[in-house]
Amino acid sequence: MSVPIIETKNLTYNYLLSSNFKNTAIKNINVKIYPEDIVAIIGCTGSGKSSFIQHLNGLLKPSYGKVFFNGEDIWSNNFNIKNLRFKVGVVFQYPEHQLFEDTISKDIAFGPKNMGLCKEEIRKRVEVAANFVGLNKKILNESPFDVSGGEKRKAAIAGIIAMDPDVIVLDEPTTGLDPLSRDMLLFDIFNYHKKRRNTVIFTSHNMEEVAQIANKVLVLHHGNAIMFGKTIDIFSKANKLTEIGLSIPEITNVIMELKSIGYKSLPDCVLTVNEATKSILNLFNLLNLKQ
Amino acid sequence: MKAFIEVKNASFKYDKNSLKSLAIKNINMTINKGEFVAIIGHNGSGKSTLAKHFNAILVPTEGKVFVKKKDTSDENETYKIRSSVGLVLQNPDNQIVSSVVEDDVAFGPENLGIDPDEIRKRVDFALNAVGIFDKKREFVHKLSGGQKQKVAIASILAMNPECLVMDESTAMLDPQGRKELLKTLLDLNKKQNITVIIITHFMEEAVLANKIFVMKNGEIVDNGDKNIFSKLDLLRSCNLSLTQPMKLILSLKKMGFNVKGNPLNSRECANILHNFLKTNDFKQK
Repeated sequence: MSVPIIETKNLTYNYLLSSNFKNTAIKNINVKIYPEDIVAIIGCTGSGKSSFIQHLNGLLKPSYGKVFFNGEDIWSNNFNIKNLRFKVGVVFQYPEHQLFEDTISKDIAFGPKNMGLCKEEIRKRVEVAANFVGLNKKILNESPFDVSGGEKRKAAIAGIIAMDPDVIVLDEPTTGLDPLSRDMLLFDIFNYHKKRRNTVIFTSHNMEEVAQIANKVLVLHHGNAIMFGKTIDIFSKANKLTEIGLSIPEITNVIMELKSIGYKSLPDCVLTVNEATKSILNLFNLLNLKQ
Repeated sequence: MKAFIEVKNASFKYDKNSLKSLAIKNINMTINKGEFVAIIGHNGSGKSTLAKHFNAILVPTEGKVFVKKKDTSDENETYKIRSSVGLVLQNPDNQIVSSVVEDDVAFGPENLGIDPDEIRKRVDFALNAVGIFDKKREFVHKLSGGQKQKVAIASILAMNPECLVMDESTAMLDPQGRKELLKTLLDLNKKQNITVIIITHFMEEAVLANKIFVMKNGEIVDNGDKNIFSKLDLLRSCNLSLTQPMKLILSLKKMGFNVKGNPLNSRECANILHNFLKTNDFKQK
């Protein structure tokens, strides 16, 4: 197997180390994330998702344990941590709150400009990034404050994509978007991953979108990584997830309910409406039901 | 039924001098006392602008909004209107003012100049109503997102409102937090007869309401019952979508199976499919 692009070993982070109110945000997290992965991080509010994410590009320094990028310890003396921030691009929650330039294209160009790229290269990067997230060329010269919420979000994400990072990390990228904008953004992220072969890591409270695009899921609970594995294996453990205040996609639940009624031939876990439709059709076939 | 909020030909423009189009256009709607209403629509459809008209944070540029027959543009009534209609925002951090839970809940009634004994009663009632009485002495910043949102609701309940307007108040919550919050709202609606208006993108939430208004580009394009879930084209044109169980039933229908019903949740969906399989006369292989 290839080298993990990101690996954490016993990663632990305490807030307020010196005071009596020691608060552990994350404890002993060991994960290996490979270049081909789309990893979803799920967990209740306060489970440590954001703290975990901030370790991936060195915004937080572990209290204990290590973070490796391509096999290198990011906190070792000879590691260039500034460079890491161009390689691991983090899109924070409500990234549109961080837009500041007077046009969208200038805002997208901010990252590449800081990387010291030449004008022509910056122009190209902006174009490609805007195209990736489906931003219309016409609005690139408009103020980021005059466009819709969905477009603002896309502009902010394009700003990170323009740096062409090896890993893109998104903290709740779809929160607050309407269903169509959400589906489109997910589709864009998925395509970006397919075409550029960059690793994608994102957090979400929406189990349906996790099931749709992630191939692996990391489940955090009170700062512990209680599960990490293939999406289908994670969502098969419905009881364990509901116990900690999470849930499974509605469609997964429909098939589980039917199975518990007695349709034993159904699969244990489906992730999408398409998969569910197929398994129902198989069931009809099996029962010799004519259309 | 008694009309609680009446919107008559209301339009609103944020900047009167700009050429930009109206944020809401010619809205007409009636919300009755004790109803549970959902307003759905795409980003920028005018949902939040409309919500701010319900308690006179905004007043229409044209047309009128009445709350209990009081004109919201009459500044003498603003105070009364705001104490009968409470607005809860998307992010609880934006509307919490104190560091301790019960202090925050007491803030509203204190400002209304209510007697301290009465404040104590109201705070306890409000904390109990949303199920966080045991957290009354805790620091707000130590609570989870869902719990904070409950504090925000309790703070409004303590002012004895007749109506709660929730502007995408579940958007930031985890599944458990959202479930608890929705249960709280249903309880307040049923037990206290509080009128509830939720603004949401989530169909799973809209199906809880007994009236659903659909907004598109500032206008109301559908005001009706849950039948809108069969108006698929309308929903699509508003950037909205069906719930997953509904999508499953629909795709089976499209393939020519005569599956009947419109499931509101996964259990109903499983039952619909089970009934379909039971009642069909087919030979076991």
